[in-house]
Amino acid sequence: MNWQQLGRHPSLAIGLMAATLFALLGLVSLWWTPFPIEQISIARRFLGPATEHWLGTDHLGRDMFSLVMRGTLTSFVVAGLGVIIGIGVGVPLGLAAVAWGGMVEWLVLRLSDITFAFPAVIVAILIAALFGPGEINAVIAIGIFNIPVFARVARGGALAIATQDYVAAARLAGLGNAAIAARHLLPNIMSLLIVQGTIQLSLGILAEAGLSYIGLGTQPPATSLGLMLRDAQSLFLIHPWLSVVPGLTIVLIVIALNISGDGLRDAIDPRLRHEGLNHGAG
Amino acid sequence: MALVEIDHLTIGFDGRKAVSHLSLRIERGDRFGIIGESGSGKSLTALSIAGLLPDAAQVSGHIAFDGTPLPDSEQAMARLRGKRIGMVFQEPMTALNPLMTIGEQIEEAINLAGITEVMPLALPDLLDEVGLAAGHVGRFPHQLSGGQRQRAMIAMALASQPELMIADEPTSALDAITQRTVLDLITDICKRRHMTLLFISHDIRAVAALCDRVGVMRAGELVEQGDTGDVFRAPQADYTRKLLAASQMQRRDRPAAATQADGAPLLRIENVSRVYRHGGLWPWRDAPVRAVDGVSLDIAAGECVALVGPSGCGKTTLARMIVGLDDVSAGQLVFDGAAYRGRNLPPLLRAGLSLVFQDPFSSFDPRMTIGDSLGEPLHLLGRLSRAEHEARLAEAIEAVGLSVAMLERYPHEFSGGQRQRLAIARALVTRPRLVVLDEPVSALDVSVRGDVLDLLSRLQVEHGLTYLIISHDLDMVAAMADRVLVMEKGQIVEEGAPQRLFAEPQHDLTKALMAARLPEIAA
Repeated sequence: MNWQQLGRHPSLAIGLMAATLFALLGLVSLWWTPFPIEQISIARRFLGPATEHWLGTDHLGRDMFSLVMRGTLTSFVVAGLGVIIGIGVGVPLGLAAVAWGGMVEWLVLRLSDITFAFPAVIVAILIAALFGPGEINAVIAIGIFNIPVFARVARGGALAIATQDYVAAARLAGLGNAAIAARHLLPNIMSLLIVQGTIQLSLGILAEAGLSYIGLGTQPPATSLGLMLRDAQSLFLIHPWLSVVPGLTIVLIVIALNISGDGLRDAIDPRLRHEGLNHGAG
Repeated sequence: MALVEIDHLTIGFDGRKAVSHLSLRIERGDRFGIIGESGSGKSLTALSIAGLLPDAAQVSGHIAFDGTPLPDSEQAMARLRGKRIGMVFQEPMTALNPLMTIGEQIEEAINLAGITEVMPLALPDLLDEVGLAAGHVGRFPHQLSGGQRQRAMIAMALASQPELMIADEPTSALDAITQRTVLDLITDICKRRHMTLLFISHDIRAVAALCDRVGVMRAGELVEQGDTGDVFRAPQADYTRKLLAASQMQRRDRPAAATQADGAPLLRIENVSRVYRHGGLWPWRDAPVRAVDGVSLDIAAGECVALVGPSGCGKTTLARMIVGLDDVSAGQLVFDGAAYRGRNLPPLLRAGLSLVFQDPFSSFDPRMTIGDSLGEPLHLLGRLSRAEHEARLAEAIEAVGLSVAMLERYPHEFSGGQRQRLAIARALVTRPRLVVLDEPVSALDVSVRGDVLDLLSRLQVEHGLTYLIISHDLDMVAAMADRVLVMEKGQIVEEGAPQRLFAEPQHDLTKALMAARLPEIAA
């Protein structure tokens, strides 16, 4: 991957740029937002977009732009932590399934089957019932949902690598299963994991919005895009703008991440890496 | 009028030329062969005649088929391909649809040729012509052998009674015996039907046996063309001379002192078997496959032993057990006095054994430097100091004629021949006594095969190595081995010195292997 390649995949460049822009917007909200998000001022509620409040104010008179910035941060942090949990647990499981095989592989596959059977929402309801709703619980629910996805992706990629002669050569060199997984399998499936990570990030943002919307995720006074939608839903007919802003933000972030994911897949697909000369030549 | 006329054909990808200014004429009824190494552009030339070049290709120049230029529209081109050009590809497993029986696929080809009305007659005729039995019609590609699949491909190519058949390396995925029968089949069909053939191969002998006119390609250019006899008797281009020289393997003789038979063998294989069970949940459904069946043999220090046999005879399975990648089902192996059953080979003993893989392109991790890959087997020797580690790497890479600076580079920067040298360097880094070579040159271009074999025989003398060569290439075996073992269905059926064994083969398989050798090109 380099800048030249980025230029050859314009959709990837656009997607990455938009996703980075949203992430930066969220990050900036840690230090600065146009208005403090906790500042309630009933007198100024339901203002439309204007120079003072770029995106207007909500039913409590809070600045919508500040809320969107902080909400974006929450979405990225929750989804990002979910991806990290998924990669941290799922990838080692998937690699172990290939490197050891046999019983280990069977166990990993059945475990991932069982986890797949419970959607993130069910897991979140279970966790919320046990520990009460909150951001951490949303992270755990999304993370658990990500584990089998990454386990499957890692196993699929590693299975193809494991038949290569260099893995046999490493076995001949006396490397154990763990060393082979770390030295040879993991680096060669990295590109797959990056692509899947981007896609899971966008799914995670959707899941966080969903969980907050049904009241199992972020709790006030903290905010997230899903929570903003929830607050706005009862006012949708009178003040549709309040739902459109967070809704559109979610859509744009997810589209940006999906475009980046697809673009990355095209850009680092090994079959396309030799610029088309390898098929048919010779 | 020539059937195919190519005038100044240039094919490029991203500005790099893969074929440049190629002009050739194939007369009606000719059997034209194109010889070239990988990357020489020979397949692209063939694909351009059939209009099958990848979309990314930039093409200039003219191609005329039967006097008219190739049509621009894809539909007209498809009709031309369906009716007048037949193609046979290299790998029949990927060229056939795995979900259709071969009968359906041949019928599809007949339908596309627009001669449906004669279907009841055409199908049996075609099967008969390519030597398939009527019983094969209902089978799927995976139920056929490689040779039978290639016959089915040829039947499909013949369905439309094409004027031109393009065969792109049709035999390079097949073993020696099948290769010969398929080549003979193509020759017969061309003679019978007076069909024009464009045959593409890296194997100069196959071209010599099959074609009456040849073109030699190198790096996208046609360096020589003419009648087969003329070109091979009096080659004009240096490159043709080099290819001819490479196709004749000289016996590499070693000083007799190198073989020291001092009683105890270095490796002893005692009644070793390897059984694979299929069927999963119902183990009784399928009989277990005995890949290796009660093999016993001794290899003395300093010897060069070759194991030959058709594909699927169990020779690679045996090699994997010897180097400790797989476990024996019964019997045992003894290396240097210590017994083992396969994967339980202790590290220090493992260092005394190594394996060179067939395919130099998959034997290096693309994300590791050559130095890291080469250094990997040094784990077996316990902790080495940094200086010692680097000295070992330098010694190994210089032994194969490459420079120390290359250790920093990545595998994709090297050619196939260089990679195979690096693979040999990796095999030598622990200073082993026995090296198992699994088809060490069959994935390489003809012109570098000789160099790699020279290197192997030099290393054997210098380092006192013992070789076990696994191959189906009898010429290579005759050039290298002191002793040859012939393997069939997991058992060793014949053994002896190569000269004697090849002069008077006793077993049917050995006789068949000998008969399948392509004739030497008369110099």
